[in-house]
Amino acid sequence: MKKIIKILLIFFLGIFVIIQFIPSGRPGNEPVAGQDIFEIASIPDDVGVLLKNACFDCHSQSVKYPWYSYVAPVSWLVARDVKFGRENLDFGKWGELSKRDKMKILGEISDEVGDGFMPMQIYITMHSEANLSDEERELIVNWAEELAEKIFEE
Amino acid sequence: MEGKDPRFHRINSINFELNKIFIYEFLFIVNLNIKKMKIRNSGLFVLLPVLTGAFLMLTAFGSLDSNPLGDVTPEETITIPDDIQGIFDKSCFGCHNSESTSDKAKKKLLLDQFTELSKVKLIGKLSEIAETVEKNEMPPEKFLSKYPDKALTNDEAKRLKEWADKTTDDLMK
Ligand code: HEC
Ligand code: HEC
Repeated sequence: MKKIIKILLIFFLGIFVIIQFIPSGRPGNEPVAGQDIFEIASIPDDVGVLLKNACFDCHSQSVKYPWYSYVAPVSWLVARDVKFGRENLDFGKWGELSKRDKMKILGEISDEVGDGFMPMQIYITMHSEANLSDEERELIVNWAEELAEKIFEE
Repeated sequence: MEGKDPRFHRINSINFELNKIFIYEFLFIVNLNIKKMKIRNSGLFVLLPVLTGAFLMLTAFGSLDSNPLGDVTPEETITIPDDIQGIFDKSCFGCHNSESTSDKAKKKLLLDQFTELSKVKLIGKLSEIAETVEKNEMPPEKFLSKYPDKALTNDEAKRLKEWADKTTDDLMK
């Protein structure tokens, strides 16, 4: 019996070590000068802090990877979230969006944050500063809607 | 079909208001009969208010029919052409209406209140519609495997996207 447990342990340890050699595909940061939303749009300080704390690790070109995001299999999950997160919304490439796409994405931000779908729950459990209160959610929602109005009137 | 009318929820709320008035009138009449006529024990005591109430209801419903909304027709930012409305009704309305059982679908898009959205919101939502249609994301695949006849045909998808794009362009002007 003891022998079986030992063999299993070594087996899983071996797998764990081996998967560390599989590339995680974590996307790197490639900031483009003049394209970041903070350089283009008006963002009040309180909203800016919330966005940086709660969204930028998946939706920007200034993603900070914590230590565990270097350890497979967590690294795969993080890589996937950043990849799909950026595909949907990349605050670091805000300037590349058309007026219409900016308005679309701001509407989605208002919906996602207002309805509690973003930030992703799994992220909140690892990052308490991303656990937004109702007031903080409202700040983001109001900011997104005002910015959409502003862009519309430009 | 009730669900088709973007204003049906308003009709419901008017109905509710009217019903409240009926109940107040009804109670008032009951009270009046008791106090004035002192006919507490006669059959008239029950009959009179019931008849008056029924009469009031009937006249009110009659007036609802002839003039269902009075002056409260909501502002419509856009009008949806019939052929597009037909596509929405066939493939989308079942999930994207305010009575839908799918919370997620409801929060993303409410087609029964669509035309009343502000210009800014409409531009956002129309762009989302164009995107989901272009990427073939709606109706969801899982749903289509059960109800394949609800799928958008190529022609419908094309018309829907063109309409969404054109309406957005018009709103942006
Ligand atoms: C842990 C990573 C992560 C964090 C943190 C995060 N997101 Fe996301 N976000 C994603 C992923 C992944 C998707 C793509 C989800 C999908 O396709 O279902 C996404 C999608 C979105 C979308 C597009 C939704 C749609 O319907 O297309 C918006 C808008 C969005 N996020 C806004 C935010 C905002 C605002 C914040 C901060 C308050 C935030 N996200 C925080 C990972 C994240
Ligand atoms: C079986 C129910 C169902 C039907 C039918 C349906 N949808 Fe959806 N729709 C959903 C759900 C659920 C979501 C939310 C998906 C999510 O958050 O991942 C959604 C989301 C959307 C969104 C927001 C997309 C996004 O990611 O931001 C749009 C736009 C949309 N639907 C348009 C349509 C259109 C147009 C049709 C008809 C051609 C349609 N839907 C038919 C269930 C449905």
